[in-house]
Amino acid sequence: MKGYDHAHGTSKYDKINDMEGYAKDLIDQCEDKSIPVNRDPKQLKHAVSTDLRDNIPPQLYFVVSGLIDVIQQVEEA
Amino acid sequence: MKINDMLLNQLKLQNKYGTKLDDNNRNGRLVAGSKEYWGKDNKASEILERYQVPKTESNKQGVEAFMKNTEGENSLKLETVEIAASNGVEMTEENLKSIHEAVNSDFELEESIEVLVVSENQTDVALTKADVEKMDLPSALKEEIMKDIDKGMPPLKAIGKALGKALGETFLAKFDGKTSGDIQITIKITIEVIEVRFQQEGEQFDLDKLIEQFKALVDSGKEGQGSLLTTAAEVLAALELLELPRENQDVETSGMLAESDSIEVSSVTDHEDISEEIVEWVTEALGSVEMVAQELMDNINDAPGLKLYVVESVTVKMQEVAESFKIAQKNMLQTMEKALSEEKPLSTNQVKEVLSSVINKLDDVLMKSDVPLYTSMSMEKTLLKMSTNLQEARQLLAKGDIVGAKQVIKAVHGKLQAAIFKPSERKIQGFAQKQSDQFLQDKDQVQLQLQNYKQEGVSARNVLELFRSLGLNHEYEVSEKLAQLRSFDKEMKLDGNLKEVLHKLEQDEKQENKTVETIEKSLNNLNGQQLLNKQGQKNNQQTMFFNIPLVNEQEVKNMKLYVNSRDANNRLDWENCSLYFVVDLKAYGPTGIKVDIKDRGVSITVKNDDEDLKHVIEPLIENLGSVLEEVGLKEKEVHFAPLDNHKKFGRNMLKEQAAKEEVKVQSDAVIESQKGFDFKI
Repeated sequence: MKGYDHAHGTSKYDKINDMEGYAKDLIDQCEDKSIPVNRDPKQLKHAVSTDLRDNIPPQLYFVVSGLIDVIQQVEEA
Repeated sequence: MKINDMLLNQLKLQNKYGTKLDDNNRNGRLVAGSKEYWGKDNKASEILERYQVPKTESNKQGVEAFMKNTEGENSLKLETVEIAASNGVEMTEENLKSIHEAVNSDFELEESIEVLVVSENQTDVALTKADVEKMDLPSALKEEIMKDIDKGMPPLKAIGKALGKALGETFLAKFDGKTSGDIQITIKITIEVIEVRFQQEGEQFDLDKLIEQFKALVDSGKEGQGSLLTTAAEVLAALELLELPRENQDVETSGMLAESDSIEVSSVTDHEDISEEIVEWVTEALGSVEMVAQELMDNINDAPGLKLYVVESVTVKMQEVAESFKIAQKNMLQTMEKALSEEKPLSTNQVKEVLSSVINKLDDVLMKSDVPLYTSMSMEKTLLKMSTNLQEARQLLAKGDIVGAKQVIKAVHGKLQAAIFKPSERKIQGFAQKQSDQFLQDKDQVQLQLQNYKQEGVSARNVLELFRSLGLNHEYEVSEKLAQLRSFDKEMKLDGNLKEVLHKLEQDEKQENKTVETIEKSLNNLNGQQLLNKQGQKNNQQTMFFNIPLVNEQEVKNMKLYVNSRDANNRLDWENCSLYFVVDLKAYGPTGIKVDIKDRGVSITVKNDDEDLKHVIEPLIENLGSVLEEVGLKEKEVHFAPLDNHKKFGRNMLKEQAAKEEVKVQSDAVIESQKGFDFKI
């Protein structure tokens, strides 16, 4: 399951046409439960489209980590 | 609040809000409000046309407001409009402002943490009724506590009273008269131990028995020789007292694995073995006083009973993780066996499905399960390599080589079967430290669960965890959890990432102006990164952008990372993509590092004007080559090039059309300038 399927499958909103409606609903739910989130629906609708655990494959994270490691070593040298 | 020591020390030394404005902000001044940004000949309008963004009234207002109200050079702001347009982000003032902040400013990790430290000290904390409601406790115990709270008793006192009653009052008598410090901590620890046990054992949970064990420990500590449980011997004693929960999960046994299979079923499938092994590993990691972090020891010395909780929760946690790995492992093995079966051979399409399913499961173990958080880095690499191998098998299959694909599957099956979850000693200690810290904090606050930002070794999961701890996946995970919880009607545990805590502070109106400014700036930066990482961008392309905090002993600095890839089914294509890192190195100044991956071949271009950097970085990159090979990538070429307009180059990677042209121009320039410089590994 990639992207925002969980939102799509379980709510009354169509993911393409009404992500903003979904975002507003999410903001209401979070307010009810005192969960702090970005309360701007026009930002939130974009933010919930990405799951960094799914959209970036682990191999790519590994490459990023490798480069961070190189840069850290240069800094410490 | 537990924060990386280095950072805290740094914060104590510094108090310089607002002095770190970057060049762009320093140069930029508020643009006069009278200027028109939307006219026929205007660039913003032209950009929207070029990217086919509808020129609606709301888009117009958003762009105009952004151009008028945001500080900075016009050309940079127009570039922000272009990046937003290229990424399909809606043209509101807030969206543009956030993207502008993320792309053009550094993320100030230290300042963000500083406001949290300041605000934490101002907050008056107490356990609330709602906290008690959230606790997963035996119903009789909880009922009693709630009754007292409803009668007006403070929640902590009500819990203490209920525990005292359960313990035959002796528990409370020891702390007679004290209302804070030891008693609070002890009550909290006790209640947490009960929670952990109750979650594990459900109705079989025996409160009396646990309390017996706990009492014995408290007694030995009170009578004892100075502070409680400070020696390894006592840890072992505590462990002996522990009645570890037996697994009652019913894992179905594999009917697919033939007894005669050449590869033996490893001992990992034996539950009893796991229990004992885990206890042994935890004992080893925590048993020797010298091996445990000093801070953890200090905490334990200060808080009676803490070690019992730490040992217990660590053991239970490792048990859970081992179990979850075993279930995933079994599931993947069985799926692969379907593809390998000679009795019922699968069609090419079915084998393809098997491969996709196992790759997804492996990636989930790597990115979503707790396994990589507690096991060694070599285990992570082994799993990563398996995922890579299976993707190779998929490619073989696409070429019609079903025999070759099956050989790969067989090899991976063998490796996976031999894999065993073994927690690393350092990670057990890290988890123990975290558990202990959590208890010494106040439970009803949203607590910042900061990672140790400094990366140790090369690990895919560490980078993901860094992004998550900054809150870059916060909203997605909240929406996911809420969807899951809907059917269970359970309370949601807050995550404690930086963004969550900043949003909480933002919603608290008591903040001072300066704090509000810092919070806004930090949140804009994080929101901007999230907007730039949105899925479903144009022309089958996916770009991403991150501000990565780099921590060393002296300071925290910001590194920008630009990613440009083909969109492969809502995923970046790791086999064919470009990364660009921009950082200002302490000794060598501004630097850009471009990483181009094509068919898993990695080419690296280091852009910097200091000749000395080459000598330092060359061996490190060479070494990186062999690390990358372990997970199936191949380092092909390393180039060195002059710095050029490296920041602009990065920003161009976030714009589709321009990026392609620019990349081409740049790589031509690199080839031109590199004669006698290139080397192959």
